[in-house]
Amino acid sequence: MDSFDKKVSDIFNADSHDEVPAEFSWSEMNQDIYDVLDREESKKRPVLWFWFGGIASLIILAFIISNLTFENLNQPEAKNIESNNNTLLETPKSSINKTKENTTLNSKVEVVTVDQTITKTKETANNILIQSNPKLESLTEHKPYLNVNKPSSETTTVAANQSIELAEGDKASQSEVNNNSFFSNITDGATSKIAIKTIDRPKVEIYSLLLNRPQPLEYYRKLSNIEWINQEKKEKVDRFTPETKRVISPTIYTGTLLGFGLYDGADDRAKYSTWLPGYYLGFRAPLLSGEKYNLYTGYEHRFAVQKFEINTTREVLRPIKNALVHTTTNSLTGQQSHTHADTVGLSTVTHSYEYYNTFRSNSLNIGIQRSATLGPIEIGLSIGASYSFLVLSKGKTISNNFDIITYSTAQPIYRKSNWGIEGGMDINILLSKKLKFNLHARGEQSLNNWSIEDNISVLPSFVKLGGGLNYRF
Amino acid sequence: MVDKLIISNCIKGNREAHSSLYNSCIPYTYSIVSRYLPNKEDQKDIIQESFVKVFKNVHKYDDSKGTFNTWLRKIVVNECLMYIRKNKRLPILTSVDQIQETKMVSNDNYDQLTKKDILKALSGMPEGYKIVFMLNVIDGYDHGEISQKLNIKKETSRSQLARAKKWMQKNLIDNRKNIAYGLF
Repeated sequence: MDSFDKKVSDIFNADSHDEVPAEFSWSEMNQDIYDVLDREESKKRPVLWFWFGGIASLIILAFIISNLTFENLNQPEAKNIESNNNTLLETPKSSINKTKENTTLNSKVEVVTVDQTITKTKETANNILIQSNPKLESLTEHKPYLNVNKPSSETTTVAANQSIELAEGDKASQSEVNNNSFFSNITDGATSKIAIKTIDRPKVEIYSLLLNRPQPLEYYRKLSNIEWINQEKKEKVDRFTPETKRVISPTIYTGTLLGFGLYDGADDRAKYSTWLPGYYLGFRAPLLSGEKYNLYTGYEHRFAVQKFEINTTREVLRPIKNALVHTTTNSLTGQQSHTHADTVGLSTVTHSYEYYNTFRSNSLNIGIQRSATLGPIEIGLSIGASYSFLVLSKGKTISNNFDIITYSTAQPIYRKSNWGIEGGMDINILLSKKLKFNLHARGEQSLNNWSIEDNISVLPSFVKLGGGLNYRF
Repeated sequence: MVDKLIISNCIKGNREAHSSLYNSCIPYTYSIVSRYLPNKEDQKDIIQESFVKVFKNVHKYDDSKGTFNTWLRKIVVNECLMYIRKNKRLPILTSVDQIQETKMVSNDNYDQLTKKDILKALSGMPEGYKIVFMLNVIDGYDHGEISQKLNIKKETSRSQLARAKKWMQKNLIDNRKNIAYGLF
């Protein structure tokens, strides 16, 4: 530090200071200060709720999705069986009798199912009705309905003390099925047998088994599992099994991000603010797929630049060389003499600046997509929500003489997190059996003010035009 | 010098202590703010924001790390820079040429230098020089700190300061000439 620096520093950091204007006295200022303090205090709560709400929503969403995947997907199956049960249960006794009459001793067809209470209580199976089904008789003539190729782990025996109620005959109305027992000897020496299968899932799933020309009972007792016989029902079941629903089919995409929406609240900026094209890249994958709808989630990284221009005019002191500083008039002769010297004078300077506010954000997206297929083209319309987080903003100012100053991310311009709604259209073109080319046009509208300044409202809308690749694993 | 009792009472949220702290700090605060922002409305905003920060964060003040005024100055200067940036009035000239840091080479004796002289010179100084000059010479920030605050290179800060000093030297000399001519 040279003597000049020291002198200046001493002057400005001395204990004596200029007189403070009366408008900055405590009595004038304290109300405003406490207003801000109180406002900031009350702001803390919404901010906390904002974060808490975001996290809670994600947890709830994850829970719902998890339930949908593992439980609700079974619901159609349960309903299907339930309705079947109803049909069977409502079958008039006379028709059963008729069936009984038509069946021969060696080719009796038996269908095993359960009543509604089983599907509803999930864990205990109570009554199992056995009814004859004449439609299945013909099948028994041609197909080996009994298979034993399922892994034993998938087979769970019927819970202890489940009872089987035989609708067919009176001779063996109920039979106890033990944990390790698949079969119950039903009739009076008839060759028909019953097999029951349950799956260890939240719901007890009941299937029917048709046996034809069975082996001796001991043979079946040794088997660990039995394949479905009712093929028609199996197909229905398969359509809704979780394994087939959880399709891994991510789309990786990128594109141009076009921003719209001016500053509101700062007049000079509002006039000129524009958004320069940015970019985005991300991936999207279905969490849950139905025939027409799927629930998707994804991640996206975005980059965009907001630009605005300001012109300011200010007065500055400028040195003037050889200026006329004094004029003297001789009172006798009337002659004037002029004195010239270097001096300073006021001048007006206009500065024009361009400001570039850039941001990078990461966002999590979730939504529903409705799809339709037209030949090799699949069209999807989607709507959902996005949660942007870790928003990084920077600024850069360029003055009219091309001097540049940049503002770091430590001085943020935009809020760190934002909510938005999104929607759009995707077109997937089949390239191969598993690979699709994706084209999309999506839009997003911010739901909360991006600006960290309360007096400025920035609610940008974005249009995303891009493409990507979809692969089905 | 701010009384420790006032600070401890401020931490407790005592409004009388707030008043005492404000009254003892406002002259220094005002002297800083008025250098960076000539407009009265701006000054009021900054003083308000600065004291909101002071009252909220007074518990973070550590007297072992420096005086209360030093801590206060950091807050006030930061607020000024933030305000200038937010209102987009920071036309700092980032020079690309390399100017070595120079000392004031004038043989003038600066004993006669007054606050008024400097403020007058500062009022005409280009904004870019002015902020670097004030941060370094008056507020005691080194070039590393200035480069962080303004997000510029250290070399740029040095060159801006060198330009500022040259400008200041010339301006002070001109002022003396003007005084000699009876202009001021």
